[in-house]
Amino acid sequence: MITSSNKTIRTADLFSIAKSGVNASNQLLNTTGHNIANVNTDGFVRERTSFESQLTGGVGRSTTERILNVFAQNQLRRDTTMQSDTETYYNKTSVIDNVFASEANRISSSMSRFFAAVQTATDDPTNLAGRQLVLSEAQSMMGQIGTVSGFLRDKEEELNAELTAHIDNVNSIIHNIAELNDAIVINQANNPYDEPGTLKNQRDNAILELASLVSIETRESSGDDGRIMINLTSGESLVLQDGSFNALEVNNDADQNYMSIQLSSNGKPTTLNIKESEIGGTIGGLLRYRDDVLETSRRELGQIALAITDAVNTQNSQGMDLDQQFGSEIFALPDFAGLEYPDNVNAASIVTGRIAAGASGEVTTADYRVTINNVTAGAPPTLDITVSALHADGSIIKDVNGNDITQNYTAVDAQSGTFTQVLGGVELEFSSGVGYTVDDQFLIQPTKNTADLIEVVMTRPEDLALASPIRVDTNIGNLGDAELISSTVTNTFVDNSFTNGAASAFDGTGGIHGPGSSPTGAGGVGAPAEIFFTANDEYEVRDSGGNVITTVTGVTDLNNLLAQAEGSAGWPAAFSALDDYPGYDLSLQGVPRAGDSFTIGYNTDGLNDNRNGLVMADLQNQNTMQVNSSGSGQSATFHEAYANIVSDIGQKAASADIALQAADALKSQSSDWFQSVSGVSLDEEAANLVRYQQTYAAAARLLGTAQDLFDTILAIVR
Amino acid sequence: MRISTGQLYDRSIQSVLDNQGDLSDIQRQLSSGKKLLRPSDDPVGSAQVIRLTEEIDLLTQFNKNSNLLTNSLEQEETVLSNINNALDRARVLMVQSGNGIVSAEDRNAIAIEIGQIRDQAFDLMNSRNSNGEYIFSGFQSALPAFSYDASATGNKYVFEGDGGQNNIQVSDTVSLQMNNSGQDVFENVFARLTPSITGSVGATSASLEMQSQSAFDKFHETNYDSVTAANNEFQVSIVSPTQVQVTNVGTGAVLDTLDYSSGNAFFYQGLEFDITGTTGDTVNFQLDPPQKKSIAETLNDFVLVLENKNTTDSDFDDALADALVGLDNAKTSIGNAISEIGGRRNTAQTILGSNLDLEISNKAARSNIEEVDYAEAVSELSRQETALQAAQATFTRVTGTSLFDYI
Repeated sequence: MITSSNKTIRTADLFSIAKSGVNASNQLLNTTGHNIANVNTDGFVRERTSFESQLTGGVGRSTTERILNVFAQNQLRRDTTMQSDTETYYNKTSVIDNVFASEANRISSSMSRFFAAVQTATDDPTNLAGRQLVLSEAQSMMGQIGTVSGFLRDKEEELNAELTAHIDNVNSIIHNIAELNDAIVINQANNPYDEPGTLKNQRDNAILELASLVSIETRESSGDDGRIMINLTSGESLVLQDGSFNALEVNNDADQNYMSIQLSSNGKPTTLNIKESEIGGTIGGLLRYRDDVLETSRRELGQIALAITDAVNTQNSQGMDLDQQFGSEIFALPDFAGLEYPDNVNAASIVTGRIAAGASGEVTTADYRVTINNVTAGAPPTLDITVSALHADGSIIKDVNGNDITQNYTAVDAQSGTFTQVLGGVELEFSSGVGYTVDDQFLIQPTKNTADLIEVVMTRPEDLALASPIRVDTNIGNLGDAELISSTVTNTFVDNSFTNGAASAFDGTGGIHGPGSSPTGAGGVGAPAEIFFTANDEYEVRDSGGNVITTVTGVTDLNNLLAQAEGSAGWPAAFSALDDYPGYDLSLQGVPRAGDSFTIGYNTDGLNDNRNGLVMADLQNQNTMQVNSSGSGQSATFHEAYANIVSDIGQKAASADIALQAADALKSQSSDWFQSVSGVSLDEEAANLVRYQQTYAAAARLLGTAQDLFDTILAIVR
Repeated sequence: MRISTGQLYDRSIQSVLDNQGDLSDIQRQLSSGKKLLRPSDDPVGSAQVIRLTEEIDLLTQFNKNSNLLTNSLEQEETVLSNINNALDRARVLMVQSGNGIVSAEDRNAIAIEIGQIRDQAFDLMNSRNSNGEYIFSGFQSALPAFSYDASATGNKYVFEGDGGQNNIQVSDTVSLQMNNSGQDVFENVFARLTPSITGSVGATSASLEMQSQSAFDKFHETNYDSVTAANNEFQVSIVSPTQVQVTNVGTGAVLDTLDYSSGNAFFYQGLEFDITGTTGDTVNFQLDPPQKKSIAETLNDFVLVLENKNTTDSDFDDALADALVGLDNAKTSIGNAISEIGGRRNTAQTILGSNLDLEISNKAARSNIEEVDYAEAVSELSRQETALQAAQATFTRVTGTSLFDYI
């Protein structure tokens, strides 16, 4: 009976076998249909349904899973990070590259035109049209520099907005992944046979998008519950096993426009600074572009603008204009405010910086951090400070020997209007008096924001100082053949009370100091006004009253006669006590005879003189600019420095282009690998469709056979 | 290898896009004529282009400067040649006036003509350029170089300018002097060097006459002391009836001992002494301080002498000698200035030539770096075109077949 009952089960079995076959084919057709339907779905991984045959006959339960090579997937993520990093960097850099390609030559040609205008004015110093041209070209030059500089400033704002948006995006993706993790855990617990393919595809998509923004690593959860944990390549966790997640946020140090990235643990007050060099992805590319290209080129442009304007200003101040006064400023150089670091105790104290007049040759692209070490009350209060030269990213610049470029200054006057010169041609004013707190720090950025703030303030062409304020007259009675070859002016600072060490021999009213009014005081000699030869190798330096200031003997050459006199025993100590007094000098050539004299005086009515103009025009050819941020090494001309910027940016864009091509190739290769395993092939699916259709028909036919068999049995019994 | 459908499309479209990008670059190069579209195309080259452009701009400016310089030098040369020509005529007149048979009326006529030459020279010395600047005033070009003051005790033609010289940059390293100051050209001219008798002790008569100006000039130049005036005084003492001795009063040095007989002339350093006296008598003479006179002054002095009917023959001879020496010195100075100007013009011309050569070679270098080679670019264009067409053609072929077409 048992065996007979077994036989009845077998009959019923044909039905169930047929049913399982129909179901299975149906399932296969479903999977094929799903694959075909999703052929254009982004990140879709083709699925496969597999079966096991049942011991009792028929086909067992189906298992549908995604066809995926984890290694290919990880490779694709890594290459995506790399590719989006280089792509962002390249795209951003090539914009700057293009700007310098078009605007570039306009800045350098506007510099050329400015100096050409100075030469034209110099050729005919009394011609006002020529002088006016200098001012117009100065305007145009500053306009060009300002345009590019303003463009770079906009780029920084744009970059900050972009960075913030990307960080928001990263955070929402992290959030999304954590939620998908939860959903997958629940889904997988409910149905252990079928993989939650759609959810996993969504999660993989999110992870790939995250990988394009930052460099990440993924790990399967140890509990095998389908979770994926994510951390940054530098180690910080983003999505954790317990379902929680951490978010990125932007922050800034002293410079509000220079953002840094931090990791904040959800709900916890602690934050962690992230190593920006390891972030990678779009965000890493942006940061790299900011540090390598944007910040650098802004500072380099600022450096050129400051150097060229200060050099021209300084030269102009050493000349005499058409109104027979000392030249005034052609350009107004901006002050720059010291930026407070967030940790400062006293947020109201102020430090102001500016470029010291004539210090253009020392200006570098460095930023400076000023630290207050000590505050001493008094009148005026004094400070001890430390000044460090910084890279754009805030790290300290090293000198050629690898030491930090840092300098301590003690007893610096802290009062309004007193500037103290520190590193790199920068001078600082501490106007808050005693209102500084020890350890407070300030960030000084001389070159970052200044290029478009320099203005042309000279409006009258007469104010251009093309003449030299000094004239040397050869006494008509001279019997020797010595003649003047050059006279130089190095200092025109007027201070008739000599409280300022920078005072020169010029009295500011069209003359030089006579007897009694020079630093030697009442009854003393005046400033040098005559060279009188008492023999062909001996001369007296006399003042305008004919009093002998000093006698120089044993003269072997006639160059820089006053500098030679300064070395003689008779040179007044009161002159030597000042920085550069009298502030002019002269050189002769030929052989003088005893009794020959050369008088030095203010160049009254010397309107046709162009000596200062020649020196000004020659600034174009002078190697006056520091080319590296540590302020050592070779210096360059303005044009060379500009060409360096352009070629530097071009170099970076060119190598970024190559890096991008390499990254593109790598990504397309790993994408190929991934697609080759996981992508849908319509031809394959077509073949499957035909195949599963036939198995469906066969299984349906089996059902018909079972029906026939059953009918046959029934007919016999009837 | 398994190829998924997406891969098939991606690969095909990518090659089309790549080809289009390359084609567009070539198209931009052809339409702009430049192969350096942005600095990254050739970073080093673009820096060179900036430097070369700067150099070319500078050379252009130098050429402008050079033209200006040449114009101004030409004007100066013309003025100086005119003065020189006028002085030639003045010299003829001077020599003519020294002719013994010339009557007082004739001298008057000569005085009028020399006076005109003087005025012409004075006018030319105050020449102005096209901007109205006085070209010989040095830096103070707004003021006339020379002024005339009839009541002045010394020189009546006074130099008002200064020795200022403007230079013009004509190349990176060379700057050439544009103007000559009137001080150098006209004012710094020595008048005739003269001696004079300052006193005598015991001698019945003493006189001295210039016998050889050049011999005296040499003596004057070596012995004149501008610091200690006493060193310029010399004493001739009769030490015996047959000998005189010349000593320097300042230093006491005995310079020479000469043969002498009273009443007969003897010669010393180009000077003819005529001393009547006995042993122990002394005659002092001095080297007059050298004077500098402009040509206008020299001519004016001579005109005054010509116009004066009471001039003695010996005074007239002195005046004529003064005028001739002064005029010759002035001509020498002007001649030096003219040849100096010619030298500068030649230098400017040479430099202009080399500047133009440099400009051409710089332009050639720049175009080598940044300008497109059309033949190469056009062939590149058609190559890229072919590649794009091939990519497009294969696209439809590769993606056009599907198994679905057969079921």
